[in-house]
Amino acid sequence: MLKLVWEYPVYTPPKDDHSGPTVAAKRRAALSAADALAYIAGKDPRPLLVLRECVNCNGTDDALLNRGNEDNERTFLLSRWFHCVKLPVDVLQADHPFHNLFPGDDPEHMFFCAVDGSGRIAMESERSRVELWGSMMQVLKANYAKEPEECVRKLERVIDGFDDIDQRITALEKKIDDVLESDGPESHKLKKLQSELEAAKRERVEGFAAIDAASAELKLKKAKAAPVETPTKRS
Amino acid sequence: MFCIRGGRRRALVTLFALCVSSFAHARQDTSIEKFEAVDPYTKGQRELMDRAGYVSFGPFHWAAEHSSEDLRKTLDGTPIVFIETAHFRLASTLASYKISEDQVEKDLFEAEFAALRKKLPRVKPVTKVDPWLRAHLYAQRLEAEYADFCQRFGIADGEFADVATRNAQGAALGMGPYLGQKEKFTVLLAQSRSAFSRYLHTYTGLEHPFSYRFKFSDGYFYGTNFEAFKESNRGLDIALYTSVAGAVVQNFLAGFRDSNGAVPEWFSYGLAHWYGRRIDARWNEWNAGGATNADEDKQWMWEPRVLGLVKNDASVSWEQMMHWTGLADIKPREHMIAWSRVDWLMQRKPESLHEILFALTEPVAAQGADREHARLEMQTRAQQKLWNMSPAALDDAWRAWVLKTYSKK
Repeated sequence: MLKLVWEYPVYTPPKDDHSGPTVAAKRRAALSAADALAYIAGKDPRPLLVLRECVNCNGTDDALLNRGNEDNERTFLLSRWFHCVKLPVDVLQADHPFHNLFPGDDPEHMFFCAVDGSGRIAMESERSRVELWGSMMQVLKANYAKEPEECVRKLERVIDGFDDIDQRITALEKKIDDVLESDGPESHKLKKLQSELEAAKRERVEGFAAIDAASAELKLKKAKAAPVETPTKRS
Repeated sequence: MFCIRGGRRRALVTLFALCVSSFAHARQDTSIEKFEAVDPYTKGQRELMDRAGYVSFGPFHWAAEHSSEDLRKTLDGTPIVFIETAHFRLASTLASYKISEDQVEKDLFEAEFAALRKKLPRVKPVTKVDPWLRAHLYAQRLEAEYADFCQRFGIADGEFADVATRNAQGAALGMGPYLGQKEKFTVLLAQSRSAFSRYLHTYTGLEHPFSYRFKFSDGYFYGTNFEAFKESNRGLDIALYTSVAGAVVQNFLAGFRDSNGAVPEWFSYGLAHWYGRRIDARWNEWNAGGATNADEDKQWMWEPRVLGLVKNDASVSWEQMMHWTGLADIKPREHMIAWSRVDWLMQRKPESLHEILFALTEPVAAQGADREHARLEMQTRAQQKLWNMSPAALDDAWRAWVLKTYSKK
């Protein structure tokens, strides 16, 4: 629940029809920024959070999260309304298909933008929580029909009541195992434990449903008529 | 190499150390490590590669329509080591690993360095295992497991040679020399989830955060990522190895005679646990326990737990177990029972394991519900042929063995 759900797109060029006896190997080449963005966005209409891996973070979420898991809950919650995409280190190579999403000699570490590339906000990994959340909120406000803050508060309330449920389930399962192993399936303790476990599992399902409902309250604005040119250079 | 390791005292020390180290992990350097272009242990010399049993460091065919170079391109800048052995193609992006303070792991590495040094004299005992050495160790581990599997199940050299001729004579051995597969078993050990995910998504169209086994058209693949282990406080190489050992033997079984995964679930998971637990039982709690904190450290000690279930008549019956059609059907505690029943079969009459393996891997052509029916029929035939016993009688014999063999502690 409190995690970033990443996609890791890899560009697959369309297959060419060829009728001749030989086929020349295609050289890798950068797509235009607009094409690259369209490729990584796919059919997901949510705004994008695009992170490039670098030699320092090496695929970790360090660029986005506070090390030590402090203060990350709000980042996790806000990320639910983004399509989170992680690109490889090689995206800095000029011929990488997605290179034009991070052009230049010293490109940013990540950016947020609408699915059509508009409203791009570049971010470095070394920035404050306030700055990060502010940028995320700005993009959410631009792309969703409703103020996100109210949904975030709802999610936080659900999660607060949800905190210990997995621990309770684990503990109850262990107790049931212990009873089965020591007293057997006829033990009088078993019925009570099983009913507590079922209740806890129900609570979990209800909690997830409440989270989904709170998340779904934030609906995307209607799609714009025409895509907006991305501010990055084109190949 | 395969022997039961671990113990309660050692486990507590390790689990405490892991709790401490999880804080350290949060602050460690995550920079991408540069891998040496040429293997420093063989320098690419044919004579040393032969001694180590290596065919190639790539490029080579990987699986189905893709090669090691395709895999390298897909991983987009992630450093990678390829090793092709007699029966495997290994791709490793595992970074350097500092051997932990865990004594079980230290002992394992010490023994493995000694074995590897006989083949590669440049290998020295170290406290930090570099990416190439780590790949060499996994290549050695994979081949050791393949050899152990063949030895235990009585699979002779050449048993899968010339399968076409033997199939024509009615043998049903599959499509190739690798236990019935056309191509070698492929294993991807990724350091990061992103590298693992890029491969999995590109070549299977699937997403999985932890690990995956997959049947390509010509052979079986297994991949996993060390990042997932670190996230779940299992960031020890020995924990990864335990998991790899279990998954790889499942691929041997699934691919055996190219049976379309006919092998019963209880035998597949039971044998996976059996192989994993011989590396280090502490890290094989998967789906039968799973907490790695000191309060629950007894969870991984399965013998007394199985004994308790048997004494209290609380174990899943053999008959019920035969109906499992996939992982979702197996409750956590039932993994222990499957493991124990396989443990019993492995020890009962080792000379009959060849026959057991063939009887439980009869190729199944049917699909859907018919397939599950055919798998069940195959098990029933196997029981009659192998033991001439009903499931209930098998249950009784296994229970008697558990009561006699396992102790409460």
